[in-house]
Amino acid sequence: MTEALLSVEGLVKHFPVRRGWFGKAYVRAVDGVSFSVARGEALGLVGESGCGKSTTGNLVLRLLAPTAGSIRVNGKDVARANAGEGRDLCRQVQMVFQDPFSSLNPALSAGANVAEPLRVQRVGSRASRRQRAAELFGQVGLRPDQLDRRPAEFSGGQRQRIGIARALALNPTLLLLDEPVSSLDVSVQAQVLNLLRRLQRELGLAYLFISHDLSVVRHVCDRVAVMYAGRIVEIGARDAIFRRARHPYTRALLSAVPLPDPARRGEKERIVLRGEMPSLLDPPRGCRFAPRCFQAQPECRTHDPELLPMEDNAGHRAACLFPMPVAPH
Amino acid sequence: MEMLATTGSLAPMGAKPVLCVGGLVVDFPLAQGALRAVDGVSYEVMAGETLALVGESGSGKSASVLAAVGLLPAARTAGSVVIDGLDFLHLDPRTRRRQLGRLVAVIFQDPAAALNPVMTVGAQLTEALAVHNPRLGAAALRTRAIELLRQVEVPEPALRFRQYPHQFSGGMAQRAMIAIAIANRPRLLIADEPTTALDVTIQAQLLHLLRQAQIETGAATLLITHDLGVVAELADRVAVMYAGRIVELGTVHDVFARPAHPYTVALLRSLPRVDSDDDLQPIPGTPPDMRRRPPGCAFEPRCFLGRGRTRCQTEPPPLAGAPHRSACHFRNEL
Repeated sequence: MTEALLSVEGLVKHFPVRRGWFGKAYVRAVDGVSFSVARGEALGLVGESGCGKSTTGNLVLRLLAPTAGSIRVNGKDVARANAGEGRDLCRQVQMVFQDPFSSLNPALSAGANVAEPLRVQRVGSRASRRQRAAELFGQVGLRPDQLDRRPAEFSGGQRQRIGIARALALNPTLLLLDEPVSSLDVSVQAQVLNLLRRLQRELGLAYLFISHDLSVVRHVCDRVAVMYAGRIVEIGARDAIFRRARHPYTRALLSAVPLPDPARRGEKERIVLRGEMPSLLDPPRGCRFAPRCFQAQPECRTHDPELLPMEDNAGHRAACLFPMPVAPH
Repeated sequence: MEMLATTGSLAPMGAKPVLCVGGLVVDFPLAQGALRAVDGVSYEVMAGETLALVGESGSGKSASVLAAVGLLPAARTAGSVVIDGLDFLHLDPRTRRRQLGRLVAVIFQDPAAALNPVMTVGAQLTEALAVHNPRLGAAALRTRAIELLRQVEVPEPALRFRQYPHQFSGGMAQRAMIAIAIANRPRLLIADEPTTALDVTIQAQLLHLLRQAQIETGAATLLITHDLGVVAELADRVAVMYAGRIVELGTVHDVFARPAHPYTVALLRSLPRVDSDDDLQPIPGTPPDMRRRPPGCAFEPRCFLGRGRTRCQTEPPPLAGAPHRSACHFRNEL
């Protein structure tokens, strides 16, 4: 088996918070997360607010230091990287942010924004960097004559293209995309999603694609990991998650998305979950989803389920003591 | 009863519209001249019916509604807005304000911003009740407020009554907003992106609740949203807006099953769906700059049907046809 490009093992991040006058407690934002991303593969990390998906992304980017666990890129532990290796890691893993209005430098031209990573890494001359920026503009569907415009002169969708071009400047092998189309209007969203798919194919990129939007993930990702309350509750190939989900939370999440099809109103059996995600200061003892689960058994309150393989294929795993039967499709 | 079966509408036949908007124009005065955000919009909403105004940012969907009820003081408006027989646009501001919260109630997108952070939720609910029911005593107000919280399925309503908005989660705060909105049984309920800020499992709870609230009050409901899934779920009729105008208006079934405007067709094709792997067909380009609106059809530069025809480029198409209306010169080619 080939070594994964990104491999995350037992990742934990606890944030300390003050509790009362002298007390201290920990928010267990990420609490034992393991997954890997192969070269050229797009893995979607989905879940609702507070499930830990963005914290996981920030840990992978080394914007936060993990409480425990390891992150390896190309087999190299990122926590133990020396300065030179750290620089190399930066080249390999690049980031596309959610908000194209705040993530570009408004004082620099669009071209200079795209060339900035090259400048920071001291790659090439000023002229060759500009050349590369022009090339990247072409790749993301912008015109080279727009290089000297300021970000403010572009629409939201175009700005997100600039952000993607910047992320590609150093020829990374892995892109971390945190809600990259959430702030875009639907008519523009599809343009950017198709661009991301094309770039992934053409450049053989791997994606860690963080999103709350299941529909978007279905259109971009090869594999999907569903997070709930700081844990991965189900992971598998796209079809396994969208057609043969076994974890009740994944099922509920999928059924909660309103379909743009009034003819099927009422036809779709909707699982409406009671309540909200538990506090991560003091998560439930057994399965963290049990208090909201519509098929929880007494054992679920005491046993913390492991992420175990499902029988349909090796890569499909779910953390549930009583996985749901596969619905006939 | 046949209409009820086909449209799913709760509106009784032959009912008079609660809201009647005619030729509404909304301008925002800017230093460089007025920006026309809404350019001649007309529609009606019946009691018990939900009309969805759907469109992208800047399409004028929110501006057309908020200006109509006097919630955009900076805007200049023209046209007519009649709510329950009252000429709302020309009402003096004092009288108009009195009607807000009684005749018309609004559920805003962001409950954290819409609720007062330094007043308990209970105080805000009782205030809304007291303003319009001056004869109710403190004890009666409290009982009624707690009853309302129970109605919107806030757990432990008596405890929640004493809490502040920051002690509420986003979903719970939106429930409180809905309770305040329905407190005086409004005739017109406006929901402006009511579930956009919420997670999808919480959204599912709230959509159910909104439906209940509407059945309970029998109010005419105006749902403003960009989410076609929410529209399909909740609306009886849909008005699709583009660049300040309604481009298509019809029953939710007609608009989704037989869209009569190329923009609606393109929008549905570009939408990623959770139940399908089909390739997305994006709409090329971006919506027009409202200061440089094309002289003909505003969608023409992005349209797959127009293909540069002179008529599309020069002549703004009127919203025509009944009951399924479309503003396209060539709708019969779809």
